[in-house]
Amino acid sequence: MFAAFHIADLPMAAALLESPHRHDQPCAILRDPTNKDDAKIPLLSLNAAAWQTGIAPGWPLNRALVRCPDLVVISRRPQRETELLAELVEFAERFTADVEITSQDTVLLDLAGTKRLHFEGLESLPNSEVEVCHSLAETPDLAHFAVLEPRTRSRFISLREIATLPLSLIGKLEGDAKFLPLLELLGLRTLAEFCQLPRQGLTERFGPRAGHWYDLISGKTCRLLKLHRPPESFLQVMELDDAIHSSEALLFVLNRMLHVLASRLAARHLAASVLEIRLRLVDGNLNREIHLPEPLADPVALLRPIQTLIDSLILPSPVIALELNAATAFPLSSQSDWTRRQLANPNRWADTLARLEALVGSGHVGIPVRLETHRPDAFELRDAINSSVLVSGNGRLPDSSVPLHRFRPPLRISVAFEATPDLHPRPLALLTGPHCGRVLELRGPFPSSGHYWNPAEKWRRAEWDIRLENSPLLRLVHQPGDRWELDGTYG
Amino acid sequence: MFCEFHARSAFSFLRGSSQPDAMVRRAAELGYPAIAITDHGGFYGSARAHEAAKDSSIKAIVGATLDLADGSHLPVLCTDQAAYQTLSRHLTDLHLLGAGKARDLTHSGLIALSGDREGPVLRHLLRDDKASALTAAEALITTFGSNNVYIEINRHRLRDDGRLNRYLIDLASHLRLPLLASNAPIHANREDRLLADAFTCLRHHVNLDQAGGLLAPNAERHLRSSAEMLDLFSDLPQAIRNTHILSDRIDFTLENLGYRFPDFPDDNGRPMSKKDQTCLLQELAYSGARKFYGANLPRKVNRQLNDEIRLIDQLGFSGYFLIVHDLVHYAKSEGMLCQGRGSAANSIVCFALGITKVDPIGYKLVFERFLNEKSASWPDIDIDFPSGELREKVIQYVFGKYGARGAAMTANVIRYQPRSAFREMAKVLGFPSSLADRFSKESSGFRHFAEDGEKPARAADFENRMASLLPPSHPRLPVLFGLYDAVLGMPRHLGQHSGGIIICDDRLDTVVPIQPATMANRTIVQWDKNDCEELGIIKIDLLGLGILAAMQESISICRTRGKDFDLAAIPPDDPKVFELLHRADTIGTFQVESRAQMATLPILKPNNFYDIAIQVAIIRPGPITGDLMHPYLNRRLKLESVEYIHNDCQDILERTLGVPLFQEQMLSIAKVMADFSGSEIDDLRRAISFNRSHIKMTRATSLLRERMSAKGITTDVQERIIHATGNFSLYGFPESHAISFAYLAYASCWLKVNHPAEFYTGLINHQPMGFYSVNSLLQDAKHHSLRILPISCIHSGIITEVIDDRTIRLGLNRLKNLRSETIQNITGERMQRSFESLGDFLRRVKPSEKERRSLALSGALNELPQVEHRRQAMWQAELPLHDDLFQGNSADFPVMIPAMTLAERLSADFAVQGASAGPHPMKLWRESVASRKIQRARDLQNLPGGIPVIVGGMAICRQRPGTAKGHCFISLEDETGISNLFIPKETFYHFRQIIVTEPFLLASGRLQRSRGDQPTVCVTAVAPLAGTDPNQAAVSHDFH
Repeated sequence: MFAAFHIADLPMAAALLESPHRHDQPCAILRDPTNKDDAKIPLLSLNAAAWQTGIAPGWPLNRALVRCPDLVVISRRPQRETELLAELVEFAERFTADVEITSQDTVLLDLAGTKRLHFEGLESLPNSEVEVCHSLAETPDLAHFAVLEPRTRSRFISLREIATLPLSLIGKLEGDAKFLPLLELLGLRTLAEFCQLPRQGLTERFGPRAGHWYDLISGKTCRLLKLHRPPESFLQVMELDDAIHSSEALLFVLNRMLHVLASRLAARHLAASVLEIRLRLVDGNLNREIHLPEPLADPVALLRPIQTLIDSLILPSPVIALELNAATAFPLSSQSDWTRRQLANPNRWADTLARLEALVGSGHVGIPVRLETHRPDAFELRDAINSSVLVSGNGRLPDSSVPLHRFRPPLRISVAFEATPDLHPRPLALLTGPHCGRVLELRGPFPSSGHYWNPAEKWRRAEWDIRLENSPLLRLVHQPGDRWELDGTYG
Repeated sequence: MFCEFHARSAFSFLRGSSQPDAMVRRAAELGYPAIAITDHGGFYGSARAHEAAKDSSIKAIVGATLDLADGSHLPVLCTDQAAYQTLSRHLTDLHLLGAGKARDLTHSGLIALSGDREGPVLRHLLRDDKASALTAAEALITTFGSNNVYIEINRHRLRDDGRLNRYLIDLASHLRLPLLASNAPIHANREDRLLADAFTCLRHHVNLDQAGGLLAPNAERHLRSSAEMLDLFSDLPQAIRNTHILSDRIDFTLENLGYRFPDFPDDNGRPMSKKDQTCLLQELAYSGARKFYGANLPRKVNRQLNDEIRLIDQLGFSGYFLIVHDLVHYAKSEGMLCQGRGSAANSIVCFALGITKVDPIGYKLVFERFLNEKSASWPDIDIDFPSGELREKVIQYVFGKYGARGAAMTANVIRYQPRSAFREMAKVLGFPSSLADRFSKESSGFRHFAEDGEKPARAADFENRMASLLPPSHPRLPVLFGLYDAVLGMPRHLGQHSGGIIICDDRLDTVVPIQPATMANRTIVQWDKNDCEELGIIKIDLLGLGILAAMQESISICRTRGKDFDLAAIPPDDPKVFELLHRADTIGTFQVESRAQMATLPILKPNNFYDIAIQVAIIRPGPITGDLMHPYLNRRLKLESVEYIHNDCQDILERTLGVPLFQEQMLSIAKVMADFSGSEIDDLRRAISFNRSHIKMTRATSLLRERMSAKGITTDVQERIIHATGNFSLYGFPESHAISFAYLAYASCWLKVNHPAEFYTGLINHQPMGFYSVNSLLQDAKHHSLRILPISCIHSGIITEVIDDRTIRLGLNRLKNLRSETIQNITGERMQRSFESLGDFLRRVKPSEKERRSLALSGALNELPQVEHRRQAMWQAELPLHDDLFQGNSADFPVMIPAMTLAERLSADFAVQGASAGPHPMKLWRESVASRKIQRARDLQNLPGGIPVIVGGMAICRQRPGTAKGHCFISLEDETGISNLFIPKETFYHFRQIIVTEPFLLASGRLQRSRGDQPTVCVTAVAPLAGTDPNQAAVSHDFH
């Protein structure tokens, strides 16, 4: 005996958990959320109010809107869907350990050896209160068939009753059943009509899958469930009886947790690539991630970056609990070079980066890469560990053959100037800054501009090379708003 | 003064961002005496630049930028006609033969510039490779000669300009080459940089955020004023001076193109003299006239022939008429229907030569509208041929006769239209493609005319469309509109004109570069028809007309069935034809079948051939928006008195009851009321032809107004004349054209009433064409008591065939997914031996899996022995082809598979044919619903106006023409005919989603009866028609 537990319109149920106020309003979720601008995208899932308007999953959105102008399209909540499925599995495991996750919204239960063969009164999941449908049948797939059809739910269903179900149910179970439209063209409407065709004729015409479904619907096969075994978690949570006030104590606890982690990793032949640490404080939480330069399983090596991190922390209140988790990868078993690894000592490199980050702040450590743009000094910061940046020149010659000593940052100065018709005022004299005086000779302007399509980033500047009396050759920059800067000195 | 020699326009596709004429006008404003447009790979923009230069009184120098094998770009200029011809042939070689096979340019007389940073010299200097730069410059000298190479100096205010230019100056000095100042502009004004950057992105397949260093560092590559250039090059005055010297040295412009229309050859292929050509023309014209008017030509005919031939001879056009006659003669010798349209119908010579079908004497058409002594341009003869293979045969005849380099089609400049403009500019700004999809769907019925100065209208349209797509505060929205507006009307690529072909007496490739068309065995020139016309290049339009192909087939079927007749000799006053027109029973006919035509026919009630010409001409956007239709109909129905705009216009407007319906009338009014000369009339004609520029129109109307004022014409009359002139710029018809079309309209109606089986068969075999789907044509045929037999693999031919006067059989080609080889197999195999069974059929014909399914579903296999119904055939046909399995064929057929119901058969027909020979889906629906509340189309005929009605049916046409002010018209088909729905603008917006989405509609409203007693439902509410199957709907003809 097998049972099937099913959450009808699970994507919608998950989405409504986040928007409970939409329960009474007709709502739909589209099949392809990445392309929801297209009016012809078919519907994936509906709530009860939407079902009542006569529309159904598979309808193109534009047609559905004709029938139900108030239809609200809402987004899928994949995280919620996963949680709901997990809750459904947990719910099923109350009855038997032999549970199969058959699809995103259905689990099958092997009830052999269990005494409970009826589930009356079990209508919703205990936590989320989402309705659960169930059916019982002789084989797992028949139970699955039965639970998809409202009229065969909540009871044991015989083979004869199964045969009265619509043929289109096959499509629900096997999304790409190519033979299904052909069977419909042949005028077949029910599973019984399907089974009345000769099996050999079906397989000859529509392939072995048609034969498989024939056997299944006829109750001739009873397959074994693919049992669900939850993956073991590396998460460790330690609630502390006495709050920790010092970094030594904190490191001591973390070291113990690292040993547990290391043994779990070793048991699975895995290593940690990222360590996730969560410190629960008296008032608030602190989360940190440590990206390791190479996957590690050695507790001593794992402790070093943690130690650097803890040393750099100044906590506002004592720690009352700790969580340690790890993202895993396979340990490195090969070298990328004939003679040595890319980094001589990746752990020291990670250590150095952690110290730097502690010094300059999170997000301020990485490899600066010059951007391919005309904007002077434009760069981006790439991840110092995981990115393989090859820093090289752009092949262009420098704009000027004379070296330029840059002011970092450029010096804001006042300049006397005269307006010109081409937007770039001509400097006459430098009034403030380290180099003041009348401009004796100048070259320019060298205007440049960019990102004018993006108001937040648009820029425009004009550079002048100027010579003053008794001062080196200077580079002067004019920016909108009559902002003048001394960019550097030549020579 | 400074002259620019290295300017590129938007015809350097995805490089320049200004139109060539805009560049030239801007150059003139800035005081340039000359400018050279050197577009990439051709003279694409030169013709427009030339025209603008003539208007602006500056010199447009011709040149091009050649893409060299090393990836560099070399600007070259044409000093004289010989150099131009060499370059034109070189460009033709490049396009037709490939880079390695183009003719050598050594000592061609062309002038080469060293180019900009992408030029052959400077690109090496960018890498500091002076040796390669020297080699490249020396190579230019070797090819073009030291007198013909200039070192181009650009100053774009970039930091490295100084360094690079120092090298270039040294190089010029070393090789004793002159320096030439240039700003190498790619746009006319500074602000056009935005579009140039967008084009750069499109060229490199990136968006603006990704483009980085590919974009221009600043906005300096525009046309600078002479003063600015003098200031910028104050240290190099010789570089500026050399621009003068070079300008003086080049005296070639497109004015000296050297094009000649070919002389007609004699029997030996030698060109005939002018005199001999005129003699031959006279001989042919008189002989043709005698066939029509009899041996003794009426005096009027004789005089007209003499006058025309004298004028044709005087203008030197005899060869042209002979060549056109030769084409028509060839087509007729191949058994094709063909006829000239347009103003050629005014000519008795054209009529006598068989080029046109309309007797200009009988219809009192004025020859001067076609050709006159003062006319500046060549006559324009457009000839219609049956579309498809037959027209292609004529085109290939021309290519064969004049050679691959002696004839080519004119180009059609494909421009950025609202949808493409938005799609590409949105892409450049990094918006998802779904935004462009949604923008496209926001149909506004707006049409863009690039030069019409309608920026506010465009902005409003854009705002409307964007309202539901992006929040108004989106930071990139202003830039998106800026780019969208800037790119609208810009050239995107060159296409092929539908039928314009040009020929030349010697080598066409010396006149204009030729390049391959997308269609095999065709070539195009780099100019469009307007460019060719402006430059005096003669175009002959060989147009394809679907109805001619359909009528040709209908006549041919009639002949094979023993009903021989000559279309030219059909009675011109068949009362059955006029009865058909009066009751608007015109589905499938030419020009008078549209919803709007059918609504007007019962009012206008054409009673003679000329009335049909008026009917054809009156339902056009010009007369409709110009409010000419209602005055004409009112006057015809004697509801208002006939009045002429001015007493002097009476003769001109008498035939159209005082309403200027035809272009000829407009031109005559200009002549009479404003004393326009022949060439001014010609200019006006061009200005009011479709899609001509706003500038020309403004110029023409200003002159009209000025002359009328000078003659003391009152302001009111002036305004009415100007208003009428404006209407003709929106698709106004010439009278001769309307008469030519009326001839085809009459002939198609005559075929429909007298030979309906042949008529519908011809139409079905030449779909898609016209206004209605095949399903609607089948329904109409059934209303005319024809029996439509379904597709059968035993009886159907390749195409639809006539069985008897009342029966037609659908052809195998109606089936989707059926390849022509399979169709040939079916007909070939059954001719050899009848099919014994379905197995035998499948084994011998070997259809693919898809084809087997289509054949079974359509019922085409039903007549095979032992096949009882479609599903049985399908069950068997699904079995893979193994010879041994078919011996017993239907033995394993399971009896439980039911036959299709009528509704299922209908759905299957629509799925595999797009049409059905079965009952109308609405008939089945009505039988299942049994509602009496819903009126049928036929019922509406008997109901009084003003009563509330509900109608339901299949939407076969949804239209919101630009002339309808946002209102919508829907044709709803049911088993009895078609109901016309009028949906006011507000109702349309309210029910828009239903109207555009649902194939079957239920509309309620009030019945209105127009003056022609035609019922129309003025709709107040629309709903989907419940209980219908969307799979049983034919394709609707929407929003065209």
